[in-house]
Amino acid sequence: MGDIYKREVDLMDENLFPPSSEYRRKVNPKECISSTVVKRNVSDEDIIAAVSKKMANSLGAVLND
Amino acid sequence: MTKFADIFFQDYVYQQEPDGSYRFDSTKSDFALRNKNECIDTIFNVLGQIYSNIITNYKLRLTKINCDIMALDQALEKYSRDVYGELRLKARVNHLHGISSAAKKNLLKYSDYGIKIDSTAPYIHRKASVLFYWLSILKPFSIDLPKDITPATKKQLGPALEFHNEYISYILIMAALHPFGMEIRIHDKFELFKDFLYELHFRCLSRSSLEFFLHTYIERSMESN
Repeated sequence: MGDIYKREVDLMDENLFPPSSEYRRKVNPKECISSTVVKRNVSDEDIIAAVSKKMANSLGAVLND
Repeated sequence: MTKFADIFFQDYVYQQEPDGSYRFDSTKSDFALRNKNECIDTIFNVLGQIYSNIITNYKLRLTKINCDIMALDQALEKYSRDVYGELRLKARVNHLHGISSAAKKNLLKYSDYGIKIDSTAPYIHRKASVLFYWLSILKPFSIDLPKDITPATKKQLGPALEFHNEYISYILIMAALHPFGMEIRIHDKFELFKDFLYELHFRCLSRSSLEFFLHTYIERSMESN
């Protein structure tokens, strides 16, 4: 085996990095939003109004005369 | 009339129960089909009104969305196949009579089949990414420009003109996410939004790259908190 191989650090080595090591822990993991979504009973009119409002400036700044 | 909220993030081809299980048609011993025409009518109605509201906000006309119905139907079918393939297989196998549970278990070795989305309940951003993917590949939406359109109007339309199909697809997916209290926040940053639509337009984004990207940009909407 060459020197390069010998110098490699095995991140899965239990002795070097036990399971409690911070190298194995995610720091501030993002909340897994997608697994907990709940569908609400929303009418078509509500969807139209809400998305129209959210996307109101989606073509760039509104140019007023 | 089918409600818009009942169309998306459900199977477009076959009927599902509210809990996501499939409804079987007893006459043919297979899944009951959905009324696709009703779904398409509802999609047009909602999309048309949202687009019209946005465009009117900019004091522009061109509120009509042109759509290749066959391409939209194909996009929604392929999206359903990718996302619900594993769930369909599970439902069909479990519905079989006269087969031992061991044999059913063998049939349900999903990883043997190369199914694109290897889950019976994918995350919502995975579903959205597959829908984006097929809408950008098949490009069902188009725009008819009047001959007398001015350069100023073209400039104002911006991404809605340059990348019309992708812009309408974005609106569609925003509307589909709304009943789940979720939204995409890419359009908040206009330059990023244009880049995203550009990449979609030239089909530079695969399903998996969209999954990674949308995971960051699909968030809970403010009103759902």
